[in-house]
Amino acid sequence: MRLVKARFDGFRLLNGVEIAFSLDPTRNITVIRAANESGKTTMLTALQWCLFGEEALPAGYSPQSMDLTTGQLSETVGEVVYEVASKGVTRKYRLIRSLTEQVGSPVRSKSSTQLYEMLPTGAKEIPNVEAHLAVHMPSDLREVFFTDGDRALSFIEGLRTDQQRRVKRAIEQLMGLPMLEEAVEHVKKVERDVRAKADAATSNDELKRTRAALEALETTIPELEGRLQTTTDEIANLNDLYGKADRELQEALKRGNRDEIAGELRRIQKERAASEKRIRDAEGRQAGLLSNKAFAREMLGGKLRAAGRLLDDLRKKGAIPNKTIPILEDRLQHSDCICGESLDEHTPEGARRRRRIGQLIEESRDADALKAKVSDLYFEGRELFSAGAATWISDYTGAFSDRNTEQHTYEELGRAEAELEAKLDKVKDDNVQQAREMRDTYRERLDEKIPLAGRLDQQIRQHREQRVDLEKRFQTLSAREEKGRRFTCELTAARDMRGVVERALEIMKTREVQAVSLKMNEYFLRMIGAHPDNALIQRAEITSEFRIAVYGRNERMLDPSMDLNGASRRALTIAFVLALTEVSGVEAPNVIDTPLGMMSGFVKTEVVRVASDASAQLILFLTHDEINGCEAILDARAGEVTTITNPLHFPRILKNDPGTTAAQALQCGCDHRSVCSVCDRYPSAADADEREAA
Amino acid sequence: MAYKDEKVVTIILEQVGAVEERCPGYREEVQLALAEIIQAERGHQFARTNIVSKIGDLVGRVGTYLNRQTVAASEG
Repeated sequence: MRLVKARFDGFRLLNGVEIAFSLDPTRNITVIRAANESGKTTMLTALQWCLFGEEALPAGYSPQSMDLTTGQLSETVGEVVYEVASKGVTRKYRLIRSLTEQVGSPVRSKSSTQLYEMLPTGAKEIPNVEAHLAVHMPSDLREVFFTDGDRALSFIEGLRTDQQRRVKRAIEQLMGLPMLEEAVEHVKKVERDVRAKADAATSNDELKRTRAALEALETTIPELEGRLQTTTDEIANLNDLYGKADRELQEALKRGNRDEIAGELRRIQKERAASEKRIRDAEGRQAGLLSNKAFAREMLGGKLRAAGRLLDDLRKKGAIPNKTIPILEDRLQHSDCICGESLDEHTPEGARRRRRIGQLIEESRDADALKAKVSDLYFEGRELFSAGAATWISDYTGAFSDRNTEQHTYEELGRAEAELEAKLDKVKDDNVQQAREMRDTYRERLDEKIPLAGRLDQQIRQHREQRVDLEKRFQTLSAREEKGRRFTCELTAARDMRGVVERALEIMKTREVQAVSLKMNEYFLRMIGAHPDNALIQRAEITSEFRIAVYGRNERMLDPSMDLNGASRRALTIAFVLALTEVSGVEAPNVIDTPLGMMSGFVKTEVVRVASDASAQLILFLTHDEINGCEAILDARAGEVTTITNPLHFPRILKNDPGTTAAQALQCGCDHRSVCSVCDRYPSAADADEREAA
Repeated sequence: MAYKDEKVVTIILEQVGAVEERCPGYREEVQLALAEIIQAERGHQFARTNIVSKIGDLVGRVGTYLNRQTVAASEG
């Protein structure tokens, strides 16, 4: 099937928009160029609505024109011309889908369709349109052929079982596997019917018992197969959850145990308090060194010595009595004088000297105030004036160093405390415990499910073997009966035919899936420019469990959702879609909305090239940024290019006044390189500001 | 976008080669019946029919052929 042209009226922003699709096999790309919010995704939706009906619309989606108000009638019409080639004959069809609704009405109307075959003699209306459309465009295939860069990612993102289910479903639908499965079931039903007839035609009890046993197995085997499938899905899911829980546990262990961190924090806080006290002590010692005599001597040494010399001179001149009241009074407390003579009051000499000292005390009391002060200074400052040992500097250096060392320790402890507090904040309550419990729970469930799957598998095998034996027995018994021979031949034929379809189904599931896998790998490596001998990503494959897996160097399995960059993830999913459509042999356009997001340079160009090579018809909805860098490949491969513009982007984004304020996209014939007065736009907000200012 | 059944049919025809030739022409009968089954299944997908009855007829046709050939061989 190839799209020829499409027209949309009254579909949101689209009114009177008409697209011609390239039918040239050498330039098979059709580009619809549009900036964000200009109708690309709307057009993709409109195209799907037209071809597949309401089921193609997202839930709650309304195609009504944007400018209509509540109560007004909305008329939406989509028209698609397409052609279908079959057995060497190409037929052209024109499909019109229309919908009339009242804006704001909660009742959703159903669209009506008309289909015409375009014959040389004119258009011939085809009755029973939906049945024809279902043959031309099976809705099962819609999601593979009509996709966007984000939606395609669902093949490699999300829960592993969901990914596998999506990949499996896409492969099965495109390969026609559900039809083969149905065929197997129908042939089985025919077998049962034949057996029932054979049973009814005979009175042989063993034949009846054998048939009953076979009937029971026909019910039991599919039940067991269903349970095995469910259990296998559960195991895959649990493996995922177990892996995730284990990673979380390892992360939690790396972050640390909350109790251990809290204990360490308390120890550090205690040490920091002790360190603070040591700092205060060191400060005290340092302060003490700044207020003692040694400090004064150190600071004023020269001045003090000069003052000492002056005082000595004064003393020599008698200006400073060498006796002072306190000294003299102190002497009177002793039995000898400073000079060594006796001051014993019981001896005449001693008593005389004591009297003399008393006399001097009395005379000294008469000295004037100045002399008293000078005397005080002389006697009290003698220690200061004398040279003394110079230990203050080393004492102070020691104290200063101690204080600095302790300050450093204090700061280190403060940093450690802050780090521990931050760590403690990150570790939720019982994080490690919780992660461990989760992991162990998944492990326990896996330990239950894995043997269960084994048992189910074993039972299925046994039942299948039993069925084969019973079938043979039934045929042998039936063949003995005159009436049973015909039924025996029918059963033989049914069993042979069922065997062929079952083997074909198995081959489709293995060989053809392998073919898709190889093709996907080829496309993917081409797209990302990976050389098999020298690249981080070595290969991609679809596993037997329908999982898209990627391998790096040394056959290391990578998780596409985590280990691949955004561009490679998109390239991988587009490669899968292209490989699937190619291997399936289904001829249909690949319609992709914004496939080149997050891509640049080589990857972007190669994705376009590979997609063009792999598609019968490739329709790309691209933004200007996506086109940037792909101009050369589009020059070579694009057969049709059209540009869609949202007039409401004036004046901030569009350069020229489009002359309308209606919410209706404007279409121009500009290709991926050219611009006109309708679609010319500012490259950035700064440019718009500059123009506005001018 | 129509389903392409050529691949399915090709594989089925390949597999018919593995079916025992129970009587002369038996394999060919099976092959023909299977091709018709696939066609009927695809048609059934787009317009519901009594598919089991149709397949029953085809199986019956092959069974009858086998029965006739077997009887003919035993009598002849």
